[in-house]
Amino acid sequence: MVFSSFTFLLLFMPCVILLYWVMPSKARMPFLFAASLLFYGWGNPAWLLLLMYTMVLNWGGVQLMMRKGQRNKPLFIVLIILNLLPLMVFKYAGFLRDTWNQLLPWKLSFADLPLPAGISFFTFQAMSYLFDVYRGEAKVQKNFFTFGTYLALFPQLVAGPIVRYIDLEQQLIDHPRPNGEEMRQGLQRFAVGLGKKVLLADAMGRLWSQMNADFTQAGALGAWVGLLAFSFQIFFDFSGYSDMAIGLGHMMGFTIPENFDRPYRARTLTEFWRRWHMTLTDWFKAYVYIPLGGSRCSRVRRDFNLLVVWALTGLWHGAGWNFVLWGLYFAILLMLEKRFLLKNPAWEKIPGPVRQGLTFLGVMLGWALFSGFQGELLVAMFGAYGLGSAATATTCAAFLPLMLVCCGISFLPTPKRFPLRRFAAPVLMLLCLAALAAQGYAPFVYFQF
Amino acid sequence: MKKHFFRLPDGLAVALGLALLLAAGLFAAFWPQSDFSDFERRYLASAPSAPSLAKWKTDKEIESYLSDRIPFRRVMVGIDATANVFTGRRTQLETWPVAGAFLEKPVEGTVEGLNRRLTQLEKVAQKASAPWRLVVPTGHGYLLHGGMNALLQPLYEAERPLYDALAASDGYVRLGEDFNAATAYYATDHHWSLEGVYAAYTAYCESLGIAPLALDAFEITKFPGFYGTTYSRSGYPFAQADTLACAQPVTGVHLTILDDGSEYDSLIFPEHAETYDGYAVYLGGNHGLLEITNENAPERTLLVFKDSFANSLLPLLSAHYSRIVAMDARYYTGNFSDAIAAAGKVDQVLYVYSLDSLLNDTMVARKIGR
Repeated sequence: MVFSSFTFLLLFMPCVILLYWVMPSKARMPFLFAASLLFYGWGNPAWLLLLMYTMVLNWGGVQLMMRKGQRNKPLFIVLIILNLLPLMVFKYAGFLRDTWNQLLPWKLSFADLPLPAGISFFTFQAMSYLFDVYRGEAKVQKNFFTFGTYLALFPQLVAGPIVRYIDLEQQLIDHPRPNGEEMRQGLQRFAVGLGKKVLLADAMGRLWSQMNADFTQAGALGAWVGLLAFSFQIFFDFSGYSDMAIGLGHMMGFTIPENFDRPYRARTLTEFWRRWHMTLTDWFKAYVYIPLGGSRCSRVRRDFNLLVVWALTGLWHGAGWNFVLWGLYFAILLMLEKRFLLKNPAWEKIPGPVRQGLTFLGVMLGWALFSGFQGELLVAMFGAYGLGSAATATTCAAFLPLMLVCCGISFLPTPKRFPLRRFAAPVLMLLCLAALAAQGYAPFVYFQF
Repeated sequence: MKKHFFRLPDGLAVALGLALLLAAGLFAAFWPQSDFSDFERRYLASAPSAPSLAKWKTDKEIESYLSDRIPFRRVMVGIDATANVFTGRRTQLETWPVAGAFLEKPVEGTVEGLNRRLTQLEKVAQKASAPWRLVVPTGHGYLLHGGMNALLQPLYEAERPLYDALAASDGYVRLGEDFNAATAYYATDHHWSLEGVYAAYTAYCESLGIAPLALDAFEITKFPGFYGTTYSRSGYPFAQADTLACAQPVTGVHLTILDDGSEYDSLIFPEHAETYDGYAVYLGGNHGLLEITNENAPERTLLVFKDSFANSLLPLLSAHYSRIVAMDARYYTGNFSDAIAAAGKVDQVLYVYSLDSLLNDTMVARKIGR
């Protein structure tokens, strides 16, 4: 089930939240657990088996691993492998097969499996529990419903944020009940997220699709505007989902960590990655980068650690060499930035908006890689197909006002006061429902990760 | 201190908001509603079937069902279309609200493709052993494009090579100055108005050396409150209704729908004026094969291959032909040769197609070559 669907907005969400509010404290976690399973299994109940596998594996496995209060390292390694197994089978098998077939004369032949929604998200969440308990940062959770609710909590199950177990542990035990203020803030945040997704991301996605369809027609104008639209699509789609998840959490009394902090306002790439998909960055930092030695080691070793982390970050986003390259692109830029730019006083003297623009340009070119190996896009950007057709100009002009809205939200400081703020949530909800009624249902980009 | 005259407690306000959403969802899911939407001119999604329920393959079906039956759906679609127009994205709508009219998108196609089709038309006429004429209503957007802004203008201007190619064809009927942007079309529909069809009728007659009748020689019937297809396809709610005006010979006409054998003594069907498809007042809508006879007209037969534009033209032409046989490839089960055989001996062949139908209609493309 997706948030931007009538099934969710008109039936699931109001039913679950209203019932959750009136439910006795002890029944809340089992209820939320059952509701989350319904949410996940709605599109394809078979995927519930996979979720249950991850759930039982980590709930039971961690108890075994910590039996008698001793950490069992071999079992810890086995649990890591078993956690990664579904990811390898469902997400990376096809990629490995294609790579194998390109490099070696012996051909592998098997069909691609459908990718279960949110597999990367809940696998990483489960592993955070495993790591936190192993490192002694969290207690073993013996209550299956409590652990299951952590893993399956529907607001963040399929597209994040990736909530580390230690961040949610106490809240799951306390069975939170929101107050009126939290409920209002939650609904407002949800409406903002839905607006980002339905009104901005989907529209930008349509613009990108129209430009992407034929770069020979789109020309340089269409290629650049299209790539800008894709940059906005991916930001508003993903941050919109995170807003909705955080808002839904609020409405049920949970505090889900922030995932985005106006990333396109960053003035360096280092800052960008502190603001973009923060929970994933934290995850890799806590469980990969620091265990590898982090930055407290030789420069060569630090650079190696960065390359590993960024290659994995790329792979996490998708099973393709373009994603690996996208990760390595950032690794190299970050290394160069750390070495030559951040300590250079000349960089600081450049006006802030210019640094912001340059950083965004670096990110945007990264999205070109992210969108796939599109040679036509790159040559179109540099004028190989001319400026663009009349139809391209018309389409770009049509989206200009919305593009300016996207620019304003992405690049300008957030105003401290919003006039008529109280009416924002109902107006946004109405506009989103209208757009959904007109357009039908549009799945989230980030579900494929 | 700022004073609030009325403010619900936060929790109650949120609960009411959620209850409202739930009520809308329950209404959409369970309130009995018509399966057909007059506004959208389509059947709404049906409830999930038992087999799909059994296989739990229901998520998209349920979503479509709810989406089609959400309360105030028409208002919702209108809000979205209005938001599109006010944020500059009118060209993202299915049809474009421009200059008080609802325009179809510019026609896509190549001169080569059009020339191939013109050659096919000539061959069909040869099979019928009769001279041929082709009437293509110059598109509403193309007629208007000179007054459009610099961004929309080139999109319709791109149709010019296609019209130039048509003009180079021997059978093409050039529409005169009477066929103009101001009067030739309904504002809410893609079809031509009475003024437009009369201008086409006049041009056709003159191309054959026939003296056209004055408009007041026909019986004119008017039906106000007409909202056509381009209006409903756009979803944009703000438009003034058109008045359908229909002309037919005063006496002597007889219509036979050869698809089912039904017969009528009028070419105009007022009962359709109040329905969602008001344009069906002409000939009762679209039919695969029909025959119009006029006992007061000269003894000659016209074979027409057509789309819906001809529905308003045929009543005017029936004043000049004792027999007209008309085939619409979209609804006729046979091909063009079958229609020629069904018509028997004909004196004239006429093609009436919009530029889009001529270039892109798959049924025409499939049936013309056989």
